[in-house]
Amino acid sequence: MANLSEVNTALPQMRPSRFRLPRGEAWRENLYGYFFISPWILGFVLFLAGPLLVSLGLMFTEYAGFKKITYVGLANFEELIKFDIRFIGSLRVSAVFAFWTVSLAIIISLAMALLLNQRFKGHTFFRGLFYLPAAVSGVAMTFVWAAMFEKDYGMFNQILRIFDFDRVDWLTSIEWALPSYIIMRLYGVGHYMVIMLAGLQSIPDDLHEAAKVDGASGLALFRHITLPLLSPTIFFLMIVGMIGSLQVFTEGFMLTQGGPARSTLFYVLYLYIVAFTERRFGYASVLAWLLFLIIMGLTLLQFWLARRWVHYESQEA
Amino acid sequence: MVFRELSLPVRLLFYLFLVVAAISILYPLTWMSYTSLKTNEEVMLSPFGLPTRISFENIAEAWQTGNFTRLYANSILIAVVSVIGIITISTTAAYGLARYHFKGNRAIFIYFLVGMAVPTQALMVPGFKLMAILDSWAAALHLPIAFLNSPLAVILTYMSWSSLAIIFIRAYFMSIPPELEDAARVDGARELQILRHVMVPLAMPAIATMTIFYFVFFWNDFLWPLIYLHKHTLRTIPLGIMHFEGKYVSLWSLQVAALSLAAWPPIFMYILFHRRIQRGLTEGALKF
Repeated sequence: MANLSEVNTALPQMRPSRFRLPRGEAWRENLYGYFFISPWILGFVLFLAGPLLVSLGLMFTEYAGFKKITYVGLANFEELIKFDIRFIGSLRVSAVFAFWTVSLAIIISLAMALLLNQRFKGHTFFRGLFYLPAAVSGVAMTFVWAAMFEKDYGMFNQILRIFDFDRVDWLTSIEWALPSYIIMRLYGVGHYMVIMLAGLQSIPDDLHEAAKVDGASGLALFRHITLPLLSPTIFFLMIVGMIGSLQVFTEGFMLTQGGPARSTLFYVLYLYIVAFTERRFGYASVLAWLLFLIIMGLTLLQFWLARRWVHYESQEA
Repeated sequence: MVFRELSLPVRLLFYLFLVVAAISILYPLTWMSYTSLKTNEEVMLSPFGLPTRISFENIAEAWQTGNFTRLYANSILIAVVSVIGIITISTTAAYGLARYHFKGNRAIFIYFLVGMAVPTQALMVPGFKLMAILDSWAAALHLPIAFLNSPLAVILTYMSWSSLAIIFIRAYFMSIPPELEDAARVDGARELQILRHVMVPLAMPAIATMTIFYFVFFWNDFLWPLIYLHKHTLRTIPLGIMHFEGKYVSLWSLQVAALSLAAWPPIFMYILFHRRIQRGLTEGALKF
């Protein structure tokens, strides 16, 4: 569901309108209300809430997916804290990955959006073009990137050769494998750009005009008007980007499977290996819920920090 | 800064920069597309050169050896059924939540919103287990239904992720004046008819946006087919591509042709619907 959460839905919060059915017919309201929501509730309980409750319970067991389930108390948690080097490593890999992809994506998309926000002929065309790679993400794109990173004929090493640099072992060396994934992820930066651009376009022109009349320079305009008014958008992208990149899995699973030397063992990849290769469902549940807690915690932290730098117009009104 | 006020050389430089940026951004995609249209000899002689003539031999061979007819059929089945299911469920639920003051309306809405924040990773293990249990029940009852190793497992899992569509469509319903329904009600329409003939047509923009979003997401998703579908006849396009790329490692041109077969449909979808996709992306972000 990570990708879906990219569509933010903080649409206007309106209260349901009243006065629809004749008064005194509360039972009809109830009947129809429950009738309309029942398919959703049923699916939700059966295929989402139910399984999640089960996985909460699985955290205290050892279970390989067959008949036998052994209750082991807190042993899984103990292992996690005391003995699991791969866990610490994968946490670090995912954190490094998330930090760099999100910060670079925000800087690059901001620059692109500022450029495309100028009123020139064809700006919608270029905007559409820059977004295209983000729409084609997925398995096929990952393999195209593997070809780009190829040692001898790949695009990157060809370019390096033109400029007489040594070739780089992109996906196969410990120091370059993770940066390669970061570059790969940044290819979807068009997604950030479209949202950033919408943010820029929502800033009223007259604010800039007024500041210009007062003699503000281009840089001052950017620093004191554009950036503060854009901060809610940047904040939104930080949250969504962080949640998405902490859950990275597909690329790593297909190309390097965690190697070389666990340098690309992303957290979710490790979780998948524990669950479906080693078949330790109990321990995998602990890892899954810990990731949930980490993401929740970081999101709350971001919201708390946001009070210091995110500027909402309504606060001043 | 007003673009027209800039001098001609500056404007030209600006365009030059944009064109260079566009070419380098699109390079991996264009490389993939034109390489798959080259002949084998051309790929051998100049792996990165443009084709001198267009040939579909690799595309055709990849379609054959990769069994793409089946991959496409599987992907289309899963994506279409899941989207129809999820849109039906969400539209009715959104209508119920938007228009009826039943007991616990607000509480249920907020409570199930949490469904959006749930990490899919936490669902991998119990989801797999649930499908195995449903399988054993079906076997005990002698029902001819399979869950694991059948598209049903993927479809049911996808269909439970309707929170996003519900929030989106519910907000749209709320912006529609209730007088319209009251008029229909006076004319004797039943509640389901009102939903079907009054509300759904009015909320079409929101429903269409959600349809495209979910379709692209289900089409590209890799994790859930990977967990549930282990028979090669059931593979979706992402799964098929993964196995294909592992099998024909030395046949570069064939591999790239298979990638094109997987990547072209989303590109085509995007070109068709790019306005709606971009609008859906930005609509909510601004109100954050």
